[in-house]
Amino acid sequence: MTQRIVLNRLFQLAYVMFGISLITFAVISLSPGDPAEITLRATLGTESPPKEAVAKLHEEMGLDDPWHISYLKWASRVVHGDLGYSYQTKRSTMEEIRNALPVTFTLSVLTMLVSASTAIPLGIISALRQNGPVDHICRFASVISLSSPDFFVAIIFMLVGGVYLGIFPIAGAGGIKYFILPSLTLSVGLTAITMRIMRTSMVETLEQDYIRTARAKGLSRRDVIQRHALKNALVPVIIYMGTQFGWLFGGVVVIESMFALPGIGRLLVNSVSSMDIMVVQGCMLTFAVIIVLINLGVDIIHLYLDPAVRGQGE
Amino acid sequence: MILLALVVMGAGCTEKEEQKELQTLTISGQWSPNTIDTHLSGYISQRLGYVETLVGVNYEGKIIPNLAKSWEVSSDGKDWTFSLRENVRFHDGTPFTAGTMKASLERSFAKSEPIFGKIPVSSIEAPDDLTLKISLNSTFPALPAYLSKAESAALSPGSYDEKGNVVKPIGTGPFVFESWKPEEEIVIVKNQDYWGQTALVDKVIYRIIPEAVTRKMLLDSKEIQIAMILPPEIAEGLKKDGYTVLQQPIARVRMMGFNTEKAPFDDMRVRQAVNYAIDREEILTYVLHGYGTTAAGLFPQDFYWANKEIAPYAHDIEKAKALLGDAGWIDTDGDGVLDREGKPLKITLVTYPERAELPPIAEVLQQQFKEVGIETELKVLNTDAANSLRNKGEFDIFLLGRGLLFTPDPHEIMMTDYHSSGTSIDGWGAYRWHNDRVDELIEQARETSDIAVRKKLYDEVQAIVVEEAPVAYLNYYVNIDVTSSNIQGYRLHPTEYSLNLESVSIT
Repeated sequence: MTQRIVLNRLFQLAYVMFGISLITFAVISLSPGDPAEITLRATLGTESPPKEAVAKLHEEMGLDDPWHISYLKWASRVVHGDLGYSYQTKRSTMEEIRNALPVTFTLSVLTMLVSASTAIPLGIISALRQNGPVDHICRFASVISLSSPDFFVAIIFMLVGGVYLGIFPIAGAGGIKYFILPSLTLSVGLTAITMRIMRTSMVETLEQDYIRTARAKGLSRRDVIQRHALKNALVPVIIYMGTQFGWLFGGVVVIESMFALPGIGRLLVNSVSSMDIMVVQGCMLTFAVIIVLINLGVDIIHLYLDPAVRGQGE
Repeated sequence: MILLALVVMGAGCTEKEEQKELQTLTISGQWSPNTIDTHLSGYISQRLGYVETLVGVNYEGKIIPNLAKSWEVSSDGKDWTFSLRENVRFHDGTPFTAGTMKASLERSFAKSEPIFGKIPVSSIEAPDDLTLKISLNSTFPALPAYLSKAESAALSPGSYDEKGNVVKPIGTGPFVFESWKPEEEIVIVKNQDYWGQTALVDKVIYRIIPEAVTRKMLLDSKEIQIAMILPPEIAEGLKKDGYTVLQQPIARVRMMGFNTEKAPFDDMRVRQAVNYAIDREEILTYVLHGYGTTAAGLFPQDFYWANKEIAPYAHDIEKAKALLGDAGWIDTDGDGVLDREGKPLKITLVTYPERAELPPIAEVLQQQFKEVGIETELKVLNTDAANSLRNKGEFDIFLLGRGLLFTPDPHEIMMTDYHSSGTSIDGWGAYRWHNDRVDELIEQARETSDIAVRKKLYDEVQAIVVEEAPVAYLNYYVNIDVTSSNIQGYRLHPTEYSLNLESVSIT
């Protein structure tokens, strides 16, 4: 069963990678402006790079080919394991991604940990004591945090953690302490939704017949929740967080740039703005792989937690 | 025992004192070098001061000696002889000679072909240790200006690996390159054996921080002492908190180009009228928060190459209306919009949002034009889309920010933006405008290497351009840097050639 899902997903991966690279390539190639000129504008720091130089690079980049031909050329290189290089830095795409990926990965994992460890307990408490003080505060807090944009939250955390308390570095990359403020910032929105999902799911679970049966059997409320309700109530939360984990990878652009973290979001934005097409493609493929793998992971966890899904497959 | 203890304590003390005296300056900007190879992209290494070029640029944007003490050019303008400074050593101890400079320069020309490809070099020779001869195939008076570009900096032969790639840029500057983390930071330390004034601080950390608001926060939390390139509104706030705010007009002008090929701007009087209709002070005050300088001509006033005699167009609505009237534009139907032969005076202004202040400036201009009876439609498109409209002639006014000195020499901008060979093709300068006298002056200036003579020729070009108004200059960009109050000696450079960090001290 698990094997089939894995195979299925890996097969899917090939499709997704093909589709996504084709679309990205087309969009970039069809957008206005000469990529050679844009590249030189970025490298030379002038808006009107010398015409001769543009013409030369234009040829070097093979821009006279129609875009589908250049796509095929690019794809055949990729199939042979060559992701190309950056026109800006002259480093290989692989190297660029290898440098950026661990940063974003650390940031995403920390964010997930912070969110899970605050949202799940708070969600459970809210569900058990519906309309109690914790429930009210949580509801209010989640409305506030959902309506605050990322950069605003980032500024608040920088001011409090960096300027007033002076305990965390405001920006940059180095040790794990540099990730604290950005992951707190990112986890604000995520926590708000996860908490609400946890609450709703717990409330629904507690109304199920088997919970009533368990209570009737004479099990304590605590035992019922720990042994029976929690496992089932967690399923939607884990599915949600799983999809968010993938989203975090692509959605951290603003935060990475605010906190000066050299992650993959910043790499993607920089390469899109300078039309560094091979790096853009490399980033998109990386996203595709990560998202498909995460979905696979979520499926496997789901399978383990929910016997109904296991049953369906057989 | 006591003696021993004293000795130990004493040693401890001196060590501590030495530690204390090590001064580290931390600065931050948004620029991130793409590569550590100065010959591919060098502006950051030059500004930080770990590499140096043959010639330098002073605070008027004029070329001055640097690694070359002086230079001479043959009467036909083709042979340039540079006398190099003696007793200069690279950071690894290698003596700086004509031979090392030749090798370095040849690598520069090959690596940064897009920049140096224009120079008609026939040969580079090193007849002795302190003489470098560059022979050209034709005259090229901007040669020293090109040799001030960071990409032509002198690198020691020890900078490369076996394949000829830069592993560590070893230059001659007041600072020594120590380390680099892409997208994060560059660390440099003081060069004790510098040929000029040695640095006052021991170490400088340059941190790459893309967002201005983050740089401000870092300043507030005392993690950095200098925050480069902040927007006016942030700088204003910091000024109140006791920080030092520095501003410097740079060689970049906000200007409008007119479509001189079709009505109404094929008529010089209408272009001049628009110039009079603009209230430049108002734009500066309300859009740019007072940071900037209004423009009279092409270059900011404190630049050597600026024609300082040019009288700016004053804000004069009556004069604007009179000029428009002369051109036949009169409000006959009393609807507030001028008309001629039954056609209202409606124009299209194209600009782009990548330079964030341009769209709001366009809105202010729209209001100002309305006061003289011109109705303006704004089109804000991304740079490439806007530029392609411009190149197709589908605009009346094109509002843009224009860098003036890619090299610190006016030749380039004059050719691309005002000489008919440049205005008749796609570009950013005057649109399809041509003036025989201007062409002639620019060509004359290309034939001589005498700076004073060239300045006179370019002065006349600038005066003609302002008079005939194929473009209207609005104001110059300023760089705004903020330092904490204990920083002394920091100075902004008008061509962003150097950060002058060797003169900076922490009190």
